[in-house]
Amino acid sequence: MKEAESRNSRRRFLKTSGAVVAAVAAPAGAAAEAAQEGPSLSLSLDLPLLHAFAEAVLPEEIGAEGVRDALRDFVTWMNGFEPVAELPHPYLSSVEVQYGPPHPAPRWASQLQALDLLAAKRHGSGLADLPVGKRRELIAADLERHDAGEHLPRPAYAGHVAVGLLARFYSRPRAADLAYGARINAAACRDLASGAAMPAPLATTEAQN
Amino acid sequence: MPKTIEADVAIIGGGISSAMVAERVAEDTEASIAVIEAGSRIFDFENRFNTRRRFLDYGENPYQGDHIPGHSCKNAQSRAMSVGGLAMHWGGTTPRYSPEDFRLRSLFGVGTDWPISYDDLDPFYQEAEERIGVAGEPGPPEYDPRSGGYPMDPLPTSYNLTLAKEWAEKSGIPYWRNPVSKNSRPWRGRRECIRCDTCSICPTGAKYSPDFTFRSLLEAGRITLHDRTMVRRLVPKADSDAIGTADAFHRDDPDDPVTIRARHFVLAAGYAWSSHLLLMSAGGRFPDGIANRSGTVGRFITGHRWVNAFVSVPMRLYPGVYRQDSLLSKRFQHKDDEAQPDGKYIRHDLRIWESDVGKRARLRDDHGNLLLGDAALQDWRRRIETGSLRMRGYYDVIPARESALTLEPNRKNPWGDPLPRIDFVDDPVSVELRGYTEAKIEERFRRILTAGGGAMLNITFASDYDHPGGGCRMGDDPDDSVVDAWGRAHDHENLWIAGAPTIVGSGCNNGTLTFAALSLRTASRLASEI
Repeated sequence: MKEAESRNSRRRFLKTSGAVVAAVAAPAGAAAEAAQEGPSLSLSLDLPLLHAFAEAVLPEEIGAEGVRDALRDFVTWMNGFEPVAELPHPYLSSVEVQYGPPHPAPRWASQLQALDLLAAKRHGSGLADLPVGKRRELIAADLERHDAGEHLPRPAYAGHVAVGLLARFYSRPRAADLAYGARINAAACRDLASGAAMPAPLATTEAQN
Repeated sequence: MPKTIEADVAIIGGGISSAMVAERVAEDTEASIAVIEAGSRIFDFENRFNTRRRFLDYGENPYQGDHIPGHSCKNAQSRAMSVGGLAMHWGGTTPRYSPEDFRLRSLFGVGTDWPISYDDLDPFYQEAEERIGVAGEPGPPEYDPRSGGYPMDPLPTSYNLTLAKEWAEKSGIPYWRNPVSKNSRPWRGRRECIRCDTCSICPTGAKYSPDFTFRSLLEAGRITLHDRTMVRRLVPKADSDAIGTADAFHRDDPDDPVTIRARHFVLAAGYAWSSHLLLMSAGGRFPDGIANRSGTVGRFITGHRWVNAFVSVPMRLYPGVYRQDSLLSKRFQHKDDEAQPDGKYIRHDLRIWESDVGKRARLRDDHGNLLLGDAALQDWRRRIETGSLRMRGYYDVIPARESALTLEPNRKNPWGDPLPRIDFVDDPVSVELRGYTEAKIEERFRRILTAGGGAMLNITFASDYDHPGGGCRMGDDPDDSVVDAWGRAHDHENLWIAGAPTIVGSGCNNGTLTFAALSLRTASRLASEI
């Protein structure tokens, strides 16, 4: 009953606004489901634009494949997002049941679109056609306007698409592995004994991918 | 349509205390047992890898619907209510109380002695550890006495905690592994832990939760489980003070009364809802509530506060392998001159966990510059050359009589019943000692930092009580307590109260194992009378 309600609410959302994400990458699951379910709003995240954006935001050292992987993950994450989901009850608090935020994709899509328009007006070409340094300048200025703080929030709470992308990227275990240069593989289930040893170093190829 | 539930034993509440009572009574007797729980049953073990994944990716509640809309206790520990109770979410931390916790008045001249000693409870601690499966490493016997070993060896110490232990013990304070209800080997049909590190939603069943016990008892045909059934009132018999029935309703058919008839009633609804039901049952010969001739139902709500610190330490750690694991020291729960150097009452535990506080990726550096591209990764790498740890001390707080659960007449649930609120109030002795205690714990944190090296990142002093209990405290004097040393209500021969509500004090440790042990002790006496 509960799960059915949950699925229905996700379907409803995607039908009215969510094909936002479906239009990007169409990975499986909810996106494909949404695509079959009829018309959507025109707030589609433009994949080439998102890619150009990600190149300016994510670390260069992850390389082209790393950017593609991060984008696949980001889009999959958005496709699976349940708007206004029930959250865990806060410990040591009896406040009413807590619910999460609405889907961030429409907001993020409009920000991306605005950045693209701004690039065209300022520099005579869309964001994707600018050098990475110019893209980054535009994005940084936009982040300053959004008062982005020091800490990365949970992705869905990110007010700006750049913060959302970075929050998701840096919340993934492989980002920590990259930073530490070690195979920590946080959040992976593992055999009991293996946690007792210092995590093995990342191989060079792993670090690049 | 009105409905009647009949059983030899009716257990009201469906958390860990209920599970312990149900299992023990089912084993010792052939009595019919009905478990009544207001929340829903969420027996979705098969789906937990999926709910865990969504918890990790989206922060969603892994136990969707584990609450009753419009039905809450103000200032309670959690909003959760379902079959399994808070022990569905719990971290599985299972230290025992210390022998000193049971004799505060005798040893320190503060608080109230329990009517039982640590030695009285020890066999039931042992039994609880066997039933729920506890893996642990005994501490030094002077600080951590036990009559028997742990059922399971401790989980292997993580790399980070191995370094943390060496670091912390440079201070001369001994640490050992905090015992946990997580399987270091297969135990009673549940799997060995595989360190998924999301113990609030354990996908493998290596962490104990009461749904395993209830499912097992249901499969064996030893209990009936009536979830979504809310008990509103205990009704005494006309010709004696024994409880005759309980009035309830099913949440899906609230207009149809459910009457529960039983020879014995066990109230195992936790520290908040047990007192609430007793107060709600006021009327007739019991104008102040059931089991409340002493006027202490809902009173002496107890718990402990804590001091929490995040520290930077001069070693490279790798947070994320097993954040749930922790070190424990009961060094300062003991009675001696080092623990209470000024002759004042101070007792607290010490715990240490790995942490990533101050060591996470971020969007701006210390100067406020945005970190895009490689800059964020470089900034992160620079900061993780040293590690961070979390330190915490739970300190004992003596509750005042006014530390109480009361009914709020103007705040009602959807069925028109007044809802409870809790106001935590310290006994004057704890009011006076609070500043001293917090300063002393901070001093001990700094002693560890000085010896091992490192710096305090931040320190906080809690205002809440953690691991609360009480409201139906046990005692030998019917004028000053609700139940006797076995959990039987002084005023009603067939009413038993199990677990958290009956405690006299919360000591300095997580309480769940003690609640389970007390419940088993109550069940042993109840079973002997069936």
